[in-house]
Amino acid sequence: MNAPILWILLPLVFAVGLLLIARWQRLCRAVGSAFALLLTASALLLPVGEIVQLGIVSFEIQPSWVVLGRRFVIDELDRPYVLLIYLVVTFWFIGSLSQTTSLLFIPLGMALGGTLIAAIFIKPFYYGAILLLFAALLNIVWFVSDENALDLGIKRYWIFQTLAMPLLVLAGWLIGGTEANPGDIPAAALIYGLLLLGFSLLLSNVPFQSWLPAVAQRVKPYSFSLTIFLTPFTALVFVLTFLRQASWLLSSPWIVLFFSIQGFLMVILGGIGAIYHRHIGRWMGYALMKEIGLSLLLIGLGIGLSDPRPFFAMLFMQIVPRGLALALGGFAANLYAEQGKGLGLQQLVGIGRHYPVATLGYFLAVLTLVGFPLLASFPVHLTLWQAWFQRFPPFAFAAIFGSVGVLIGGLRSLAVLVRTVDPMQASNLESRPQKLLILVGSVLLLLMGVFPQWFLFPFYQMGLAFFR
Amino acid sequence: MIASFFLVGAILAPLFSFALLALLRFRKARIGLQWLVSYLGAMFAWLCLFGLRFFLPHELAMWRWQPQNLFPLSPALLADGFSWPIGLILVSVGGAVLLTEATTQAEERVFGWAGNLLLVGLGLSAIFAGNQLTLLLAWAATDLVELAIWLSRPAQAQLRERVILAFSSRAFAVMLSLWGFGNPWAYVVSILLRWGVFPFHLPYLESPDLRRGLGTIIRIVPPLTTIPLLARFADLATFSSLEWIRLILGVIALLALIQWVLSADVFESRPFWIIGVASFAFYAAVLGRPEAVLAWGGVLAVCGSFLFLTQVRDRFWLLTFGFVVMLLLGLPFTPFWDLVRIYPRRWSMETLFWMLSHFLLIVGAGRFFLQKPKGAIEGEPWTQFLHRFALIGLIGSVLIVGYGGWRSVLETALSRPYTQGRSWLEYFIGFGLMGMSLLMALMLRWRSLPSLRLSERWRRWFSMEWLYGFLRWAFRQVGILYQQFEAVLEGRGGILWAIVFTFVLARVFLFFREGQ
Repeated sequence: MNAPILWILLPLVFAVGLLLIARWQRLCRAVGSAFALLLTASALLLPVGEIVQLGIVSFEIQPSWVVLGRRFVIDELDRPYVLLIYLVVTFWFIGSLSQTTSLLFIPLGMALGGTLIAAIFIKPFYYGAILLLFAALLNIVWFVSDENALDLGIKRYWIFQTLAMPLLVLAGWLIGGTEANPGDIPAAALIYGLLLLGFSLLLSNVPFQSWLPAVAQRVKPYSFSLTIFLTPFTALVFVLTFLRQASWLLSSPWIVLFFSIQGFLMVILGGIGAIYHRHIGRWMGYALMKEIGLSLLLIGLGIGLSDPRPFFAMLFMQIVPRGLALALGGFAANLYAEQGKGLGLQQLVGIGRHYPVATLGYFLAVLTLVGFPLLASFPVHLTLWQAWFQRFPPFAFAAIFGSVGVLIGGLRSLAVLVRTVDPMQASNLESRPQKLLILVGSVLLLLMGVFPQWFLFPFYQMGLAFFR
Repeated sequence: MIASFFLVGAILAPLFSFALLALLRFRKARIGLQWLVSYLGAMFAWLCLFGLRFFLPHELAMWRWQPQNLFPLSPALLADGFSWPIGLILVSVGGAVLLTEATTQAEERVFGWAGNLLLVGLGLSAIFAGNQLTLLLAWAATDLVELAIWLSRPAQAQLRERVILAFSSRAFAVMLSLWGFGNPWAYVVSILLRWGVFPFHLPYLESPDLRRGLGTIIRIVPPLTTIPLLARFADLATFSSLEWIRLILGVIALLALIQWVLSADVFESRPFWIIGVASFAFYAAVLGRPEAVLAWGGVLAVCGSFLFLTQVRDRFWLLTFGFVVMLLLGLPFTPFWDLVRIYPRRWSMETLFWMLSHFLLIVGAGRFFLQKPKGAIEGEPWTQFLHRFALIGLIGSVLIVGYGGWRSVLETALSRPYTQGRSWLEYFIGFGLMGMSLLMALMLRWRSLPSLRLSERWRRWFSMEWLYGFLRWAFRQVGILYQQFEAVLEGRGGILWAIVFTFVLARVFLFFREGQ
């Protein structure tokens, strides 16, 4: 048994199998969910590089796999990342059991999980950029299958991700050369140029962020929430992997400046956009912009420190509440979209009264994405705001502004959703499984916010182990 | 152990009672039973708080947030001389609201009881917050309940817009207060936003449906939760370096109290009462007088409740009126005598300014007390009894707080001994204000003073509608600008524009890097 085969190749092969049964949606979802659950359980239980005894059978999971001269290496301490990815995929797949999603949701979701894991654990590391481009192409197929047209925003996403790949591969190749001679200033300047532009394109930073709300407006919110959650997170982890290849990069003031300023711009633009939105899908796009900005600010706090691991590990802690919130928000928005004519605010008047539990979930998702106290992402926001207040208050204010912007936008939607048209006609259109899923998610969001030591701390420890 | 039981019991009793009420409502139980459950919850909380009096100070660490390197603070509760009096007053007001709500004919009174219990429970958790983190969590929970109450009511689009704005400003206040360590002005802004100074109690001004019970508690809880915090700041002299706050607070108090005097009825004036009285408490904190902060906090809740809950004018009403006036004037040896500690020994323009505001406060209170109540208690005699019982309970609580060892309770929290010496002004200022108020009343009676009505122009100016109009215009302009920027980036030439912006951004990076 081999870890990369188990967690990369097998899901990709299985995704092809799922594609073949995609027509039978219920079966496809059930099988996909079960398999994702198995992968999650395997990532949780199977140690890498140790002998596992299962009854009379004993085997060892090897960490390395060589393909075409490239190696995929998943160590024991890398398991948290694998676990996180498959946990997310499982969560979304189980949610899809009571949702209407596109035919390709399950196969592409499975393939995306495998690809994103491969992107992080490939050696040499810069080949990850190519795999991330492959993941972006999967996303594009997904978006197109949802919308049945190649929208301008989707094209833009495609272009930006395609441009990012060669820049990062070249920068990675150059880093390998300069590491031997860090004093090589002209090469370092070139590396900085390639790297920062490549990062901006890959992470959808300013001014390459415009595709986010544009695509969010077109694509089904539930599937969109999975892709926009997983891909940027992996891109961030990839960027950190990149930076950790050369110690001079991690302590570089250029890199600190890049993450801080980009984080600042992203939270500001996300906040402003969210305030003025007229479409729930777009609001999700802006909320994600703000979240990406927050992650950049978090990395900006860590870079330059002698031990940046606590801040990098917080990315793992940040990702769980964000994922839950996006899943809940996307779930609720999907239900609204089924009932209404679209997700424009004018089309959603009073719809929340038909979906009271979903609206509660949506409300909690809004508050979570904002970092409101009592909700899951508050502990992370709290640390980030306080740290930036100590280091450079304008950035803390920007982060707070972004949160308040997303809050105003979310509450505007909520006010429209719960507006009374005719209270007597407000019938409940939610099914029992839908209610159950949303309630479980909502309770988890609250518990995580009040008891982070039980729900978030394990992810922090996973992050610490991963960024060892 | 017993102290922890009392402390946790006081906070949880109203919350459990709320949960039980929701269950009974779901099971369509008799309304009497629902009321009994609500009242027992409030009563149990009151008894717990009364018991807690004998165990002050008491600190309770609840659970530890981890990782500790990222979260140095964890939720904790603290009952001491700064939180206990305010806590007892809040529960008493909550109990009084439950009793008076039972006498109303409103269809949604169960909704009012439930909201009242939730707000009291969460308000208590904010009042007894042992650190900044706990306070933020409790503030947030209170805000959420308030938002849920507002959004669950049928309302016009404009009111909803205001509710969103008010909630967002509160959320901003919560976030901003994180900067409070070493930055007292962050707390100043945060507390002012929490009171609803800006935007000026927007949703509350247009909420005729929330009149007496729930409407009273919903307005009183947010400022009351800031009182123990202000008392702690006063004790630590945190604001001593911020002289400019005095001016701002003075202007806020005066503007609010002018509106308070000029409002048409007691419900319309309620937000102005809150902001006006809370400004006095804040002023006391700036002067470093925690005892005065608590006294003004007591006045805010108790006198406000009397004013807003009283529904009849009978013989009993005279007793209430006398009690309220006595508290408001800060007469010597009355329960909240310490409120006059904001007046220093030496006269100054500042003293006169605050005396004028104090005078306006009394004039307004007298005016609304003498106004014939719009509501009336109908039905069986027990409803009259409950109404009186509510007000007697409130008076009793004030007497317990004021005469049940005010000084010894305070000394459980004060960092220095309670100041016993008083200036001559503190003995006579209450009588002076009383004399001035009587004179004003007589002059109005003899029509020696012009009418108190302001012209429409001044009224508009005081309502700050011009400011909100301007802000709305600015908001729309920024929106138009942003949408144009977005249209450029999302349009067909978007990629070219992205390249242009990349160059601009690169230049910005170089600029920052050159400047190190």
